Amino acid sequence: MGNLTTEQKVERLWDVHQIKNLMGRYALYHNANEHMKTVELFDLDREDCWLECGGMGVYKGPEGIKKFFYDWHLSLAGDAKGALNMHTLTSEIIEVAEDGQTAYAVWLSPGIETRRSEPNGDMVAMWIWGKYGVEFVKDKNGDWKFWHFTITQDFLTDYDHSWVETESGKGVTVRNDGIPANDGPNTFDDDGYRLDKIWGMNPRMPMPYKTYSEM
Amino acid sequence: MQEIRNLMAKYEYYHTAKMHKETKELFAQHTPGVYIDNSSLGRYEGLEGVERFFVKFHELLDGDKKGSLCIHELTTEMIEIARDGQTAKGLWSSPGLETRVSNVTGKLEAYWVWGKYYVDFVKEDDEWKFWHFYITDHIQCDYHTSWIEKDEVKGEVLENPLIPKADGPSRFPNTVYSREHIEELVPPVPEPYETFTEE
Repeated sequence: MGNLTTEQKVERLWDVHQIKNLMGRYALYHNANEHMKTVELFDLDREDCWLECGGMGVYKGPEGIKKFFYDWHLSLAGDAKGALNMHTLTSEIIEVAEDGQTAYAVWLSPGIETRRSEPNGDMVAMWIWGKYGVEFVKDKNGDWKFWHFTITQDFLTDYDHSWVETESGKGVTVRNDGIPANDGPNTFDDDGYRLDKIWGMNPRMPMPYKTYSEM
Repeated sequence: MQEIRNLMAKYEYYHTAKMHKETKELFAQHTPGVYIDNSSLGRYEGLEGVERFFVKFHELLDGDKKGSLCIHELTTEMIEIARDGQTAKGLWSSPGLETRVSNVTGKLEAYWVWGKYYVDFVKEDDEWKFWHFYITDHIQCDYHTSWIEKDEVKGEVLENPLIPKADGPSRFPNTVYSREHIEELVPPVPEPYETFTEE
């Protein structure tokens, strides 16, 4: 990276800024239940876009993205009254490829949700912490879009129980009907905190790279 | 960009350190139209409004300062600088916490206070300053009572009798969570723009 010209360095700063705003837009649309707008943040011209969510599997192509972000979240929100997703973005690392065509970034995301619990479907306040690992690509107009979007779930616990207590069988059971069929299983074994889990690096660490094929 | 980010972070650090007079100095000092707009409390206009909201109100809340606490983190940042370079818009989600004397129990109580900041920045004497400062409240609940059960909360931050009278209503509808609340895109997402015009 030491060979970049000043102009290239400025371009990379601009790319980082655009990527940060794109990811911020995702979090805000998600919070506002604007789920189709979330889908449109992906490069839907690319059949090879995908989303992977820990514990839920892989959703492939524009249809898979829509199934996960629109169909499922619409089903979760119901009539939208009391529905809540606030997933904050912190601790970012962003690496833009030397060729400026792709980028890869990670965020830690401490967040909260209101979900429905078993057996009666009562509203329940949940802590949800996870990570995002996102590969970005420039679309045909030169705008940054989501390409490959990984969500890992560190823990999902109700307001009154810790992640340790939740794994010990305390706390509420979240209602999980309506989850769309995935297009494949998870590529990583990481569905959140477990008492016997040894924490590893997932999503992978962004490192400087020249072009996507070498990443 | 980094100057705007630093300005916003200075606000947070001053706020936690109870340096409210310094907070006021982060606002434009001679550009017309300065205000603070809180979605729950209303609009406070001019530097006098800033003084009333950020200095006098918070000094009253702080009391003797012992045990009083405000930590409002800045996350999920979006920034757009106008193409003319004279103004900018920024948006942050802020998962925060406070310790206040409850108006019900009369004791120090711990609260979760999650909200968003939406700020119009203006360049004054070649320096970025706060111009229009919006705070939207989203989650207000005491530590032992979730945002869903908060009807049982012992003391509400938003029902504090020390709250100063506003100069007018907020631009935004109520954003505080309830079982009936429907989340909307409030505040709006900053979009690229040429020059500032009133939204």
